[in-house]
Amino acid sequence: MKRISLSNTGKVTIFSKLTLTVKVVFPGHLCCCCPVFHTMARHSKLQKQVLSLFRQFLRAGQDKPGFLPRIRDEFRENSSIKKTDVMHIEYLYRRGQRQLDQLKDVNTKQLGTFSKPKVER
Amino acid sequence: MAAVCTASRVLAKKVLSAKALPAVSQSSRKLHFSVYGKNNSKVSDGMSTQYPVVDHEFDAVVVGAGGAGLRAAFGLSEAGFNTACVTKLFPTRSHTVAAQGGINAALGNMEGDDWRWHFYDTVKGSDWLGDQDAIHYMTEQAPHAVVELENFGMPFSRTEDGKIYQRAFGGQSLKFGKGGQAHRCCCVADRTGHSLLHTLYGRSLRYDTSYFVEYFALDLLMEDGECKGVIALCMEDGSIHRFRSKNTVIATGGYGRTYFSCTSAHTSTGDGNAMVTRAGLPCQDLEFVQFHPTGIYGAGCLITEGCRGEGGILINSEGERFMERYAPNAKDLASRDVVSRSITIEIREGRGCGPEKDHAYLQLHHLPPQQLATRLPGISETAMIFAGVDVTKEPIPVLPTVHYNMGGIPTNYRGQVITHTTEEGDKVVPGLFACGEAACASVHGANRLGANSLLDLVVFGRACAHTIADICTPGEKLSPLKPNAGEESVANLDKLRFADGNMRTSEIRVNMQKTMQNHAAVFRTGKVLKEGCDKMDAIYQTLDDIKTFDRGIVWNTDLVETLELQNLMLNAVQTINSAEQRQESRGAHSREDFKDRMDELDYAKPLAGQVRKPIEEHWRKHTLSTVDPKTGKVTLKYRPVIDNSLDAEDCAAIPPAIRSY
Repeated sequence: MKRISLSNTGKVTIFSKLTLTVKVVFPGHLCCCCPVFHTMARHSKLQKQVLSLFRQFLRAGQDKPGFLPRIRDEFRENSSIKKTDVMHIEYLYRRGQRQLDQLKDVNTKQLGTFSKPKVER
Repeated sequence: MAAVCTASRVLAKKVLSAKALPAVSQSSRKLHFSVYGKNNSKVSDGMSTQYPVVDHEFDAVVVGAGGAGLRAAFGLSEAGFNTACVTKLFPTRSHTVAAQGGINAALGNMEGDDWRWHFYDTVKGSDWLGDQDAIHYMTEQAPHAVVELENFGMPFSRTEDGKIYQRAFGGQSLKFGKGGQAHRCCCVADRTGHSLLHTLYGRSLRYDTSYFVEYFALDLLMEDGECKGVIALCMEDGSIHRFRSKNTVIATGGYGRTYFSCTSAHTSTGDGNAMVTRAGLPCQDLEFVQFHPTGIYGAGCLITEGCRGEGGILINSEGERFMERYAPNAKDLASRDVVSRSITIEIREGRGCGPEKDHAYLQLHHLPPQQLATRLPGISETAMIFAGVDVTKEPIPVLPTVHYNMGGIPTNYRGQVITHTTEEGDKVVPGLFACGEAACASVHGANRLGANSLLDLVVFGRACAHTIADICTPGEKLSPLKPNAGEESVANLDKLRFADGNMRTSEIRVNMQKTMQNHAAVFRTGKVLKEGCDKMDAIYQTLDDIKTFDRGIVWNTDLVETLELQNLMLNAVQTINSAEQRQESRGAHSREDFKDRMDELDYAKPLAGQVRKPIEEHWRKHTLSTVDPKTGKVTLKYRPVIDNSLDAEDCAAIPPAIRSY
């Protein structure tokens, strides 16, 4: 079930339960003379690709334990990259596609983590 | 990159509570495993280094994608197994691609031939340290293996009537050594390894093997003495991957890079041997390191033995064909260890060439230029680029250079890894197999004949696949594995990633390489070896003081080189300690203080009336070495050589004799 709604703060609600914070820099502006705030908020091609990849990841990671939180964490961390840094975004996108293929593979079973408490150095 | 920035930003904000945490060096037990996202109450997100671990399940995992690895991988896929191939290099970049000479098989295209003569030559070449059942298997399968390669599309050089061209190669004879030089090395001009690897790679694409390229295998997942898989680091995104499977095949190649001057690629770092050592299993015969007689002086690049097979000769400063004195029958086509020793003696006695009189010359300009162009195009170019020499006019400066490791992971003739106890003899390690240069089957014994290595790759790669197909069925359920399996490997990775000592990886590596080159070279002496062992021990301890610079996890080549250095060190300490203990000269291991071979009987004299020595008193036995990775201490055990062939009627075993060419 898809419901896309935009709020002023820039949160995009894609599924009813999930909220993805996409730091979309609004092309909106304050007009110099009128007090109206124009919001255009149309996603660029690249943004649409990233969102599509995210959706595919979520679908693929549903039945395998441990993947969904990681997918969300990764996308959340990388959402802070500037919209203009296209090289970086495209690199991550290509890498994400390879990782998605691996996730879809029937032999990939679960995602765990080894964690170590960080010692102050 | 962004993740690291974010993590460091987060850490800067949160202050660590006053919990007394033990020092980093004891952190091998400090990693906590959990399914990602669940149960993180013990360690809160912002305060921990997290290594995401993806778990995969396969029927078989092959580590390494060179000649042996690819052959095993698609052999398994052909048999219906769900196979993964984990490799740190793209398959066509494995070191097999650099092989030049050829692949031996008794096809009989140039003159009448019999695989039993090839069997005799290999047993003699190994100085009777090779296991004759494995040699029987390899030489009998050889013609079939070469025909199979030809059917895969390998573009062999051809004779006038379209049959595979076979050239003369070192140590090959007819009629059990009495019929003169044999021509049984099938070749593709002088780039056989390149063709072989590309043919195998092309063939492997037909099958549905999953390739994990640029994944560095860290360790084996062992539980209760059984191998249950491999743990690897994905270099591209820094994630850890555990490949669980019932069958693991190690085909990771040799460890030439322990020496300062070698013909091997920078990636030949003995990863498989080290993985097996860390798992507590022994490695076999590591002291036998082959010095190829003709590596280019200075650069170390290989000039194939095929040059001498096509008629090239070695000359000293006086212009004399000195090999006639050392090997009257085979001359320049004697076995490689004999030729290496001869060149070293000539240089030592003052007849070396060049301004410093420290190398020999390989002369090819007496051969017709069109033969050089058709049969030896690659080395013509190599000599021009690396030595500035035009082979049709001048000789090439050459020097014996480290080329191949006869030793490796001990296996039986079927490719299964074995351990050995005196009470029970050879025992198979369930779930673990090895093939190629990483394994020691042992077909090469104390010295490898040229062109037998490529044969070894395809025959034993296929043998591993067949053995697995015999023992297991595809789709078998996997035995349970502890959830935190592989924890020590990740802890080690973490330790190296944040290492902040005083010595760089490159410094420690160069120290190790120079020590090995100076102390464990062609001719070895007890005192020099002992000094080398002590120096290597000191260098091993400096690993604790290592410093790395790149703290990231994505494409951290500093980290990967450091992991490779750890692997090289484990191989180097075993090599030099085994060499120091072996007090005889056999094959490639020649001692100046113990010039003779010490077998159970003295084969130089008539055998009647001699008393057979017990195994503790002679040296015709395999060395099995283990290392304690924390201290670097090497422990040596010995294992008897297998002297009977697979079928005594079909092919009689060869009893030991004096080895002369």
